[in-house]
Amino acid sequence: MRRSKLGFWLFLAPCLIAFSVVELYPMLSGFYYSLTDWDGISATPKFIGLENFKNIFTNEKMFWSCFGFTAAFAICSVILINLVGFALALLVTKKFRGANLLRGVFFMPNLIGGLLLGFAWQFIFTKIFPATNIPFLQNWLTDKETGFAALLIVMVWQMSGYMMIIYIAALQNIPDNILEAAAIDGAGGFRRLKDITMPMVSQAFTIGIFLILSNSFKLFDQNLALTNGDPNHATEMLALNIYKTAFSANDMGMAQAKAIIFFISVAIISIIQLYFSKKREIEA
Amino acid sequence: MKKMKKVKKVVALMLALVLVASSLTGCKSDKKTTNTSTKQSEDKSGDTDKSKEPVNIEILQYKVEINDQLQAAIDTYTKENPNVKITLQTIGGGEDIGVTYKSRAAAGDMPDIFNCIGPDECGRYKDFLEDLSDQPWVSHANAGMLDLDTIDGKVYGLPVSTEAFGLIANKKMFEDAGVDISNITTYDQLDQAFAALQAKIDDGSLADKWPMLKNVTAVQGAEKWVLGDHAVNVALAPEFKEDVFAAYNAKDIQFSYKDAYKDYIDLQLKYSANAKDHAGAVSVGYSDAVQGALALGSVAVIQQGNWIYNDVNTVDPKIAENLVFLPAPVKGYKEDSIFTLVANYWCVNSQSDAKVKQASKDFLNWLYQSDAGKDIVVNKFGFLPVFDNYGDLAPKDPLSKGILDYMKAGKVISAVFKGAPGADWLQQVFGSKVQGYLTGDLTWDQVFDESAKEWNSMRNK
Repeated sequence: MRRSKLGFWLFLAPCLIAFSVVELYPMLSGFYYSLTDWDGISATPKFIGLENFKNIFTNEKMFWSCFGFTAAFAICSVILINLVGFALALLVTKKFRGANLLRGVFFMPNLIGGLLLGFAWQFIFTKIFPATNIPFLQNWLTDKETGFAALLIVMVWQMSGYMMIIYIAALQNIPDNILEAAAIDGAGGFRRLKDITMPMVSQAFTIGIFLILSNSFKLFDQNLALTNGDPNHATEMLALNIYKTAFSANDMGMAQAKAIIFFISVAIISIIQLYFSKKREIEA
Repeated sequence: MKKMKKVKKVVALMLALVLVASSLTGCKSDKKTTNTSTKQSEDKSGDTDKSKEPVNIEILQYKVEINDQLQAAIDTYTKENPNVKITLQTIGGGEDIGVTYKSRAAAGDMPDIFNCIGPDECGRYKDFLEDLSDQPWVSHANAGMLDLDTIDGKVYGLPVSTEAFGLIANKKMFEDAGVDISNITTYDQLDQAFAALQAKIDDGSLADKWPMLKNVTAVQGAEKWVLGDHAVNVALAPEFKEDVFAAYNAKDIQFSYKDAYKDYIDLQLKYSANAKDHAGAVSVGYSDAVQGALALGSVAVIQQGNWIYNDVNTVDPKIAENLVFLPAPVKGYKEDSIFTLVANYWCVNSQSDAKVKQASKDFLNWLYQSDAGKDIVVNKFGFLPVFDNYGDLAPKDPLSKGILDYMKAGKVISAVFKGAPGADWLQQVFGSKVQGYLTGDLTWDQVFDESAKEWNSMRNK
């Protein structure tokens, strides 16, 4: 008994140490700094209590407009990416020539880093789109609405392949006999999709929605590379806003306070989502 | 039984790993102790033979365009002084070196030589600034060159170079169009010259010589430092009488020259591809305008400074040779001048070891005051001299020469943007709001009123 307890802590120790050094400690020190006026350089930050939080709720209009932009983006990307990913998964699990190749092709964008991808798409939006001379395709990155759409396109293009992989795994777990039985009972393709396939992969939906929701909220690289928040902060998402507060406004304390509000809201939203998704799941 | 064996194996493996790891860390700490012990013995022997003491200097600087040349200079210096080892790191070219400095400062690992400019930044890095007032170059500095990094009479920085920005034009295009730009001294003359060139472009008479040429100007709306840091001087310099410290101490800004700024930007928009729909300008960045437009011959004029010479030269040396400065007109103040600024300052980390500090000062002194160093600074870096003992040395590119001409004629306005409340006001507030004007979300009045309000709240924090 004693031996196994020692073993337990021994094996846990590396993880525990790593977790506390790179997660727990920075987070706690972040909480502390959010209560100071630290500028990121000075060795002696002044303790100012909840002043930063008060400021965020009273003065920082930009933070809340970024919050709104980010939330809208997260909702749209959760819906779109999961839809596209699921559709792609349905497509490539059908047996036809080239299905395996297509899996690779759809997954490929996910292998490119966010920054690189952002710059590649920036080139497409600012050079190739205008070159078509179609009025609708001009100046996509210089406007809030089209900038939003551009970010969404890039994210959908990048993440759908990843979701596809998750859904493929789930689809392959559905026992063939259930689908066959339904077919014999006279259920059509759509009926089988709606009443058998979808409920059977609802676990994967939980994962998919959670992943995309939290990733979209935390999105940074693509935002930085594609629009950098331009024009006039119209396409600035939360992570970028926090980064700018910390490093260009030299207001590390305020940035930490924003990050904490950000962390708490993402946590609450994710927990709510997980709770409701879990309720719907059924065990195979 | 088999399972048990497996577990044992895994445990053994883990233990072995732990052993290896601990032995590794053991090595590390061993090395450290030997290191410090040699250091100590060096320190002792150092008293007898100081010049042989090995010194490591780390330079972290932002001027990408001189990276290779500076490395060559360092190699020359370290060959002469074998005990000195210098590591150079350059972060810039669109990347914000401030982020790096900040994280290094927070980690207590500031480089030995770094860049810092102006009252705002110097205030932040005060704990790291070594007093350089006793350095030999101080007495040779040209008038006003040290001001930005002088606090309470103490000099904290060696000026990197003088630079200037204004409207840079390809004079050959104007010549080919039969437009004389050699004597432009007013806003209206500029306007007329641009109109004349645009007319020639539109009627197709320049199509043989300049097939790519479509518009006279390009506005770099994606670069908030072009709209903010630089162009904003059109409004700030006259209001604060070209005095950085007046701007730095100002609790409020009136924007009494806001019309001058409006006219200045509108003049460039009027003859650009985005004349009708300004929003498109927001996606025009530095490289689009410099390498992509000016150097390819698709525009004739952009707002930039002498630092673009090399970028244009690598694309098309012929166009680079024809670049000249046109004045950046400030209506109601000076319409015939360009803006000058100190590029930045070299600072020495006051928290480094005494011998490292000394070696850093020696290196900077060698670079800017020895004959070999002067030659490197002027001919290799292409910097305009900021000291009075450089003799006839002067860079040979047409833009630097142009700056000297403007200086001689007294047609310069000194930039005051370093007195603004930090890069945040210049770019994230003012630059961003001008973008808002370009996209049509804000009116000019909103741009100035909201920026003035932010200035006030940042100064009264």
